[in-house]
Amino acid sequence: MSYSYQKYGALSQGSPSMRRALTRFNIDVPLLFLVSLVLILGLFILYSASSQSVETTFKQIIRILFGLLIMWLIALASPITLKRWTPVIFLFGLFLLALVPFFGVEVNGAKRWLGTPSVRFQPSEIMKLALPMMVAWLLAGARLPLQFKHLFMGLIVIGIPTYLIYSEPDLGTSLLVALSGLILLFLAGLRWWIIILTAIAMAISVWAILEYRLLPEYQMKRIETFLSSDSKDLKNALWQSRQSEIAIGSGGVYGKGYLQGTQSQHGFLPEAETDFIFALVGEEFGLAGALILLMLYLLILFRGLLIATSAKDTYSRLLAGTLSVIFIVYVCINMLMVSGMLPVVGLPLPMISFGGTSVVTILASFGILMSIQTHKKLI
Amino acid sequence: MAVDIYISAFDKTKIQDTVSGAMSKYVNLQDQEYEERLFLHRVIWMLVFVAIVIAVLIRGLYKLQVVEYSEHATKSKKNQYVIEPVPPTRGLIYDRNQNLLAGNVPTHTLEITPEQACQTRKTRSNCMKKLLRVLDGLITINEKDWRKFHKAYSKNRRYAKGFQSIPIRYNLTTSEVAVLAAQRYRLPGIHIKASQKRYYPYANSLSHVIGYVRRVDQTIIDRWTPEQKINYKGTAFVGVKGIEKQYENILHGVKGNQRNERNVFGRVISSKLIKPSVPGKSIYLTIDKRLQEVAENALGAKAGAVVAIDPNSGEVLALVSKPGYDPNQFVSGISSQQFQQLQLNKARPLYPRALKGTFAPGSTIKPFYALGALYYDLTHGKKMFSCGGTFRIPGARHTWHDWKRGGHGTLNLAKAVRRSCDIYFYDLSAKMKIDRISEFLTLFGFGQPTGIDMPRERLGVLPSRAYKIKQHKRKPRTPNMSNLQWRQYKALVRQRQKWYLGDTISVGIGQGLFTSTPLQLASATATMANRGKLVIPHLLRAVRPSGSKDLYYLTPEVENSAIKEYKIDKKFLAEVKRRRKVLGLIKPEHWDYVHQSMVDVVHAPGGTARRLIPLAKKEFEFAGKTGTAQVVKIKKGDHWSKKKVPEHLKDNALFVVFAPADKPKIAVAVIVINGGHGGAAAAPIAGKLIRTYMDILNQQNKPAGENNSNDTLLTKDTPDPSTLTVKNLLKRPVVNSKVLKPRVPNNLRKSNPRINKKIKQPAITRSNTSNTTAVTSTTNNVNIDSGTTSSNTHGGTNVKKPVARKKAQKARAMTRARARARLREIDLEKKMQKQKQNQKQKKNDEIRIIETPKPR
Repeated sequence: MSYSYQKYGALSQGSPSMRRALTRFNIDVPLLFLVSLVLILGLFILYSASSQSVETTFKQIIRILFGLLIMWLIALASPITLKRWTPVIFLFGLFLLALVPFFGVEVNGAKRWLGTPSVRFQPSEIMKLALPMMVAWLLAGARLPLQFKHLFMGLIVIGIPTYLIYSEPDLGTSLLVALSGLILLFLAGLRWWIIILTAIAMAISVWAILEYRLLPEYQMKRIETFLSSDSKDLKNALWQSRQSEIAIGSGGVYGKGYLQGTQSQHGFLPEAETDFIFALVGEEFGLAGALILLMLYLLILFRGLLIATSAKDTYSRLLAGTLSVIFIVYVCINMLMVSGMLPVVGLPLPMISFGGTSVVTILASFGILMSIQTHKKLI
Repeated sequence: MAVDIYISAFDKTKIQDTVSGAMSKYVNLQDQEYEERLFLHRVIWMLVFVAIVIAVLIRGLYKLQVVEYSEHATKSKKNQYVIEPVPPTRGLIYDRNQNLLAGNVPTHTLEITPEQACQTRKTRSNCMKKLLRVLDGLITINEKDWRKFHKAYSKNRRYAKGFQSIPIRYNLTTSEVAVLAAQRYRLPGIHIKASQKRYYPYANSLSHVIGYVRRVDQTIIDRWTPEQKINYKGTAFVGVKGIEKQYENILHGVKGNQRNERNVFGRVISSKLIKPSVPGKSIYLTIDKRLQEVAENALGAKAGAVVAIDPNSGEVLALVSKPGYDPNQFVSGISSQQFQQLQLNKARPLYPRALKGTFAPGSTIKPFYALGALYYDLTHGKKMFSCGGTFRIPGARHTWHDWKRGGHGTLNLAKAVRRSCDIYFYDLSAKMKIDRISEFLTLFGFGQPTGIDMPRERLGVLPSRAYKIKQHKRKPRTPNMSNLQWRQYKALVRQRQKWYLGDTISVGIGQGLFTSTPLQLASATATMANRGKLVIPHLLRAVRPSGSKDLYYLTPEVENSAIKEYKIDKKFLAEVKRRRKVLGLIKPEHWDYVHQSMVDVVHAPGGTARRLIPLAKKEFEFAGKTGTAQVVKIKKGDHWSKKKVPEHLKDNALFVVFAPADKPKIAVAVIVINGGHGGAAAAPIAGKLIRTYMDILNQQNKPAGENNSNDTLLTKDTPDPSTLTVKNLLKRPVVNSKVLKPRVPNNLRKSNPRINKKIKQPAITRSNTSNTTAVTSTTNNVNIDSGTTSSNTHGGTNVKKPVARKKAQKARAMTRARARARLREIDLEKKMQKQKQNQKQKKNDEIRIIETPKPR
């Protein structure tokens, strides 16, 4: 076995010896660097968002460390191993999802969790990884561009978990899970005319949903409050996004300063620690801070896509591409939601929002990226 | 090699798809390249999509943070800060001797902030119920408070103002505060707010003068102007009766603002005073608490009213309406039961008799008639009038009786007043005719407003032809009236409107249609006392801005006072001036005659108020007139027996008096409801009052060295009332500017050596260092004063005048500080040092010229 360092050397940022050492442990240095940067920034932001609660910040540190451990463990496994275990993971995920209606923990009228009320996790989080893996596994042997047979199988694989999650009910997550599968199909070379036809069909169905109120009542309300955008209607749901907009808007170009955000520090910002943490960034660090954060996210995306394009087989390529793209999609949806351009769907900002499952899932997906990047020599 | 392994291990399907094993490697490699290209293609497309989304996001952020920045910044500020009103502290009310009559005491209010108490919106109503139950167990909260709270709570909920605190119980006791503070961990969102409330230390005593404040409610707010509404934001109490209402503008002060930084639950994190509130100014009333007390005690359990006026300045020294009520009850909301009790009480404690009670003045009106008789020359000259106990009008069947069976025999006008002969005044009024009666009595303010600075005084009735016409107004003709009916009705009305001589006769002894308020009587007596120099009665003496030691006085020029809150109607003022002018036409000997006759009422044999003689102690003479007014009409033929009459139908006892007769310093009107005979029931009350006042004046006029009592010292800085006649005041130039110049009350001067030095009492000053001294009128001052105010001859009349020091005395006895204050201002700087030196040297000289009251 021979290693050809020159190929990766151009991309690496650390010293060659350091990089070499880390690569031996299957760690992609540029990605780790960017991820750590965002995570550390995130901790500072979280400290501010939690009204300077050391306890919250410490909890998050523990979770991040756990997430990093998971990331490293996954990175250790080669894509071959991952591919071999993909159907098992997917079926296990489906099994857990199927358990939710029977053994799920109900919080705020929705059964999304398994476990006890204090220690619980969402099986749908596993699906965020398992679904793209499964679709990639399906298409790995397919001849590209995509054949109908594979497309059909792919849609079924996407459809089952999506429906299960949707019926929890959790519209936001189900859409995101479905989206990850669809992105993968697109990257796999879905034909343009199918895409255009689907887009038209989607538009019609959205219109139908709004017209005939096909979604559960609370979802309809959320969507309606967003669409009505009536500034006089300051009640309940809209109040959240109004306050968030005020927080971001009042930050201006350079922000109010770290720990100086009045909206977030005085509790006007709803869920400042979790979903709406980006509003705090906008308030305390202004447009400049928000753009810097966005840039870091984009760098992670670029690194991910680079890994994907340099991957040597279809499975790795599609999976890496999908995970990178779905990551930036999470970021964009959260930011758009917080700044009032999308309805409030309940999606945390990756790597910054408080919460264990989110950060572990994201770090696990980076683990897959690292695995793909560092095991190329085997191919 | 590696590729081979890879393919064989993972892409078995692909290998199977290929035509041959040899070709498989090639085809797969080609596919791989194609797939890579396809993938790259798609990634680029994906990047384009992402770029579009990012562009939308950045545009959105730009719009929020740059374009709409100021709008959102304002909203954020609005969230963060609330401008809260800072209510001003209400000004205090003192009497003329700086006794506190209305003060502020701390009070604790229990408040709840629903959002803080129960943070989750969905479960709030349940949670609130639980909390309130806990609260109910700890302290007692009555029905009314609950109702008020629930009303406010549901209103707040409707407008999503959960963060606003709602008061639930006022006036917590200290033990309740302690209980709540100890249980605070169980009661989230509950605060105890400390504030101030009004307290009236003398409770019943001055209730009708001071009035009271009440918690601001919607009915009061609705009456306010927009500016008032702004200024009263945050104010809890507003004056609704008496002085508290009249001088609300002085007492209230100006609202301040503070900027509170708050969190989403409305909890204040920090607050910054933007604009401090200006506390209300304090008011000094002309009332003398001691006189007030004396009058109240003298009235005893009887209902009645006593009004005492300084006839020289119009200052109301006492204004008693009995019975009173406790204004403290009203401050924090009187219960309906308590209020009903007050309302149903037969003695009518809520009724301010002195101002609004209209009573027949009875015989007290006779001196005024006597003056009228002299003015219109209706006396019998030197001839005597024969009183036979009955009076008849030619052609009329009715016989009028004297109060004394058999009459008083022959008498002249003075004797008629002294003995209160009704027959004489029946005859006089018949001659004087109603037109002249009403014209003449109007001069003394009967049927007219007195102009006192209190809300809504009543006018009483001075009968006249016009009054009767007004009283029986013709109603418009109804369509179903026949011509005959209409004519008959018109005739009836005309008959009713007609003034009959019989009406005049009963008016002649202050009965019949004639009514007046005790205040009007006192005011008229004051006018009588000061020989027509009509003064406007007032209660406001001085105003002191909060934190300042300077008093701004209303006097001497009440009519052009610099205190803008004291308003006199222009029409009224013109009327007063007209009356003064006409009164000025009455000859001095006529005044003397009537004054003498009033003196005789007390001091001469046969007078009706002779029991006052001992009270005069030969120092001065009273000049009074008794009155006994019937409450019910006696029907013809009814036997009138005092003993059989039920209590509430007994005669009202009245007495008007001024003293000393030659140099009046106080004029008093007393009415005792159902008191019986005026001389017996009412006169002693006035007598005691005047005696007390004279004692006070005597004490004041005594040199300070002999008098160490503190409260007389306090009154020292007022000008001697005897010198404050209108004439005197008008002589003084630039009076207005003087009023604005603050004067310092004596007690403050004493404590502040700097002020003490600056504004020196020329006449009597209590030395800080010496107990035995001293009158310190320095020669310096005397010289200055004699130059400018030598025309003043009113000063020092009740002082022995050693000829050698006439000049110095004149100046000293003059209006003390007042007249000289202006001059002192001019060359204060120059004289300061000089005075200081002189003072010590002259001390010994001065002691010899100590004033002593003139024995009578």
